[in-house]
Amino acid sequence: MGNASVWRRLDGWLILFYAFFICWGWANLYSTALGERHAPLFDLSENYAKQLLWMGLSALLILVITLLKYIEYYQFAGVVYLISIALLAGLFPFGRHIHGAVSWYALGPLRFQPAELAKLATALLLARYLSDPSVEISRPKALIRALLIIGVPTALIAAQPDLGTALVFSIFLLVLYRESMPGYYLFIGFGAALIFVMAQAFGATPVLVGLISLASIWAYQRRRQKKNLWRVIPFLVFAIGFLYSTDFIFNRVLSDRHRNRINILIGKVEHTEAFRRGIGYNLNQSLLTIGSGGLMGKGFLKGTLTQGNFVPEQSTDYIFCTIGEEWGFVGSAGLVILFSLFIARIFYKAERQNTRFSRVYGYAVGCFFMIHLLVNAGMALGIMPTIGIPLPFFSYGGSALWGFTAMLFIFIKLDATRGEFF
Amino acid sequence: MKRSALFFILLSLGTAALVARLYYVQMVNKIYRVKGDRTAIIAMRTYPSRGCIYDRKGRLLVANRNSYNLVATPGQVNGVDTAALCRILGLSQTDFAARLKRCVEENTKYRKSVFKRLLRPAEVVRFQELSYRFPGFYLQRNPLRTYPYASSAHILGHIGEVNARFLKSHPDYQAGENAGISGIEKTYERVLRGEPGVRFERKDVRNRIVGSYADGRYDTLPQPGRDITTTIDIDLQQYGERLMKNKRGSIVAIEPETGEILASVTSPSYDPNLLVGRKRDENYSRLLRDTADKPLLNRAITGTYPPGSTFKLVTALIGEQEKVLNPRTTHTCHHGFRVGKFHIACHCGTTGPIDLETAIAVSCNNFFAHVYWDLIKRKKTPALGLEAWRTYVKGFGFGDFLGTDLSTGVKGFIPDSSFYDKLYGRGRWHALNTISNGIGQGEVLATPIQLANMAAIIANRGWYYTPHIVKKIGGKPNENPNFTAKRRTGIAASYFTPVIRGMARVITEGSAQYTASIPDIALCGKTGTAQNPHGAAHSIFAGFAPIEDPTIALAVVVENGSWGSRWAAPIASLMVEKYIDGAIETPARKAIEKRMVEGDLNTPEGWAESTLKPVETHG
Repeated sequence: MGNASVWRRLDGWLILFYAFFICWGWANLYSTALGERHAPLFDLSENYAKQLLWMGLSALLILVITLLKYIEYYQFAGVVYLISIALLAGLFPFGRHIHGAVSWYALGPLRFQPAELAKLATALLLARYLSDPSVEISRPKALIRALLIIGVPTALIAAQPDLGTALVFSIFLLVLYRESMPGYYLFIGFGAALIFVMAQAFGATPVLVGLISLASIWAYQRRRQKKNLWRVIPFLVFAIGFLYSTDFIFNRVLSDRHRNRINILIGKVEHTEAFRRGIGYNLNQSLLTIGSGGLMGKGFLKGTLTQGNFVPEQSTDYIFCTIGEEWGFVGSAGLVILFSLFIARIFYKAERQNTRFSRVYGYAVGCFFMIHLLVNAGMALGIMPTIGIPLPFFSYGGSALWGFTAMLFIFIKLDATRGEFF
Repeated sequence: MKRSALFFILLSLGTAALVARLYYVQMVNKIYRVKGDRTAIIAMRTYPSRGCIYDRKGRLLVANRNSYNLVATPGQVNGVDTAALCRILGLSQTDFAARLKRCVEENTKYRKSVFKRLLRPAEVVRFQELSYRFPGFYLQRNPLRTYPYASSAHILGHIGEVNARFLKSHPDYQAGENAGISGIEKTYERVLRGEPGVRFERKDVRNRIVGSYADGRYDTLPQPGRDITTTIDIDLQQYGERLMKNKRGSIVAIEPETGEILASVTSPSYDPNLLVGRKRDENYSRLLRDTADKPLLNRAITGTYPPGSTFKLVTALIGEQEKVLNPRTTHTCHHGFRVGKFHIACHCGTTGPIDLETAIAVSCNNFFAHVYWDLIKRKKTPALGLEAWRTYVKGFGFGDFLGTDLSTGVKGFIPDSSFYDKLYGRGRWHALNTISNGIGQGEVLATPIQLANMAAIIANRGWYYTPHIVKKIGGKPNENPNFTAKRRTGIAASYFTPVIRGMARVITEGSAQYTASIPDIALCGKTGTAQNPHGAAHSIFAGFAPIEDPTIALAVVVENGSWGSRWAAPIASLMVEKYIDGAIETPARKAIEKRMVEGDLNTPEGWAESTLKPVETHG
């Protein structure tokens, strides 16, 4: 088999981005653990040392991924999916309770988070399902099946409960949209989210007034066609019904933790004393740390707030703070821009795939990186609710590093093959 | 438009939003910027002084005094003059190394850990003189509590260093800080603690602090903890502690009009000053190990006792409200309550029919067993009758947490129908199986504070405020809605009249006439003798005074004190006299006071001496 030629066709840009991100990411982890004082690089009780081990092992993972063939990814998509579902379900009897959720398997000092595998597996199976030429996602039957593939792992993750990771799965809607799902499904989803946030921020009545006026304008502009009038009414009724159930969702379905996070985000909670020491503590510390970086940052290993351990969970969910403090606006904005160029490259590559299988998979991978970047950095900056999901390649954690590495390199491999051996 | 465009649009919008926000946070907003010599600024916390605690008349119960801990950052300990430091602290070189190692294990090399706790004043002074020779070591102020009255240990509680678990759930605390562990110190931790400030300081390459950063422009001042005024009357509290010496049990006194706790005595107790300072751990484990006396147990709020005959008052009130009883109802006692083979003895000594008032005065078991029986029988099934009764009883604050601002509490116990279902089988029990509930001897269990609250309810004729211990916070009245909402029992005010008259007769002509009547104060009350499988019965009293416009309601429990009239009633009367008159006046009363203070129930000899000896009468 012409494997040598495949090696040459692996996308150099993506690999370069990857290498750059994990090296920088590791340097930041080193910084959160240490400071100006130098310590042995390989002390396995420290996170940065463990991460180094995971990085070495992911090189092995990359090798295996590139040796597997395109057709094998296609064939084993279903099996991988079933394994990941079994692992998710197995968490409830066998998982370890950490911070009130069962998201992890624990074997001695080793921990494994099956949700990371589930992301990849769902993307693969969805890609395989959609690659069947007879499947047309604009038909309800196919749409329901596709939603089922996405929904099962999402529900299992939401039940852990890990709403943050479950929310990440919503990006599959964008992928379905690319594969010709009618646009109004996206519109409904987006509209519902908007109504929910607006209703909590401004109260139900202003939103009601807004909805009715929007609907009236829409109907007025199309007044020539009578049937348009009838089309807008069910929409409006549904929207108003949803509007008045937002309070129920907010107060009954969500827990205190989630409510607080939304309230902080929409500014319902003032930055008072109680706020600073209670529910808003993490956010306040995070903003202070990022803000103290200024234009150029304090320099690598010199972040006083990072070294002082001021931000909780800094090596995982709040790693962006370290970048903000030590590398300043130049570094952190640079990271955001580089990362989005990396994602853009994935989208660009995905669009150029000549099989639907690798296109769908590529879009899913790009979307995963996109939502992780926007939510993680947005949370540290206080423009997204506090949802604890990692920043790919930067946050500490073996499962996440492997998950994202595998996800990316499977795409790089599929891209290099372009279905030639299919 | 191609659908793929959406992805690039979303990505660009998201990126633009993040970059714009970064620009705002890092470049525009000055609050988040701490610029300048960036490597050399550290944020130090400054701790405010903890709030003091006063009694209701403004007397200082808890104050602060200063002391220092020596903290170390092991990673910065380079070139320390170890010999000098060991000499100052009186440590050996190996001990020094061991302590440093423990610091690393506890908090890593790069964070501060407590190296030596509570230095002696001389050590502090000598350390300060030579501190330049000890890089990496700092003095940390550690304010200690002091208790001028050496009283009320359980109410005030104590503070201690926060542990790792506490830190996890309280991100704004740091290792080495103190927090309330029990009592008011715990429940009002936030108020007493205040808010730490932050001071930004410049340091040099060797980590020595060289001055404040930007003239302190970014510093925030600590907000001092607020003072707390309790509802306690320290005179009354200490008097109660004196009366309860060498006895086990408790006294709770409440101001009925407000629900304020005037005194909450538990005995045996301990001197709160024991849990302060260098000997704290040693003393604490000694108190903890004392399983005979259990001095750390707050019997006033966590001790549960069968209320005995004091509970007959509740039975009577429910009976009146439910119309199975009115002031003219009579029952005749034939030395007990008999139904078929069923029998409860009674020693009331009456012959012929007696009414409610008399029944209370003589504490007739037969009378109240009948009332309770009638209450349960009214409904179709005993289960329904019991549940209806239970609803009223819970209205008096029994069988549930009272919701006080004390740091602990227990529910007590009021049996429900499922309790008897489990005991006898569903539907296989009848009213008579539960009859002893009516005279407070069955499964019913109550805490002393619940009994005092019951007395307050009767004094108020049907309502109460949740008992509480804090009157003012930072000089402003305690406005916790929990303590300002009137709670009602569902018993009409008029039904209290015959009960209160009966309670007055308990003191003037009933069981407690010789030991508990006060010359110029009309005390109303009810004695109780709670059967107890572990030994002699508990002596119980619940009452209030004066009969018109009551100012104090209280309950007294003396474990193994035999009859209610033997210990609990005289102690209660002395508390009332002390509170209302300020002192015990007449020689006869002084003799009773002496007997109460000197009575020792904790040793077998003392118990025999003070319990079996006949009571001198002054009637």
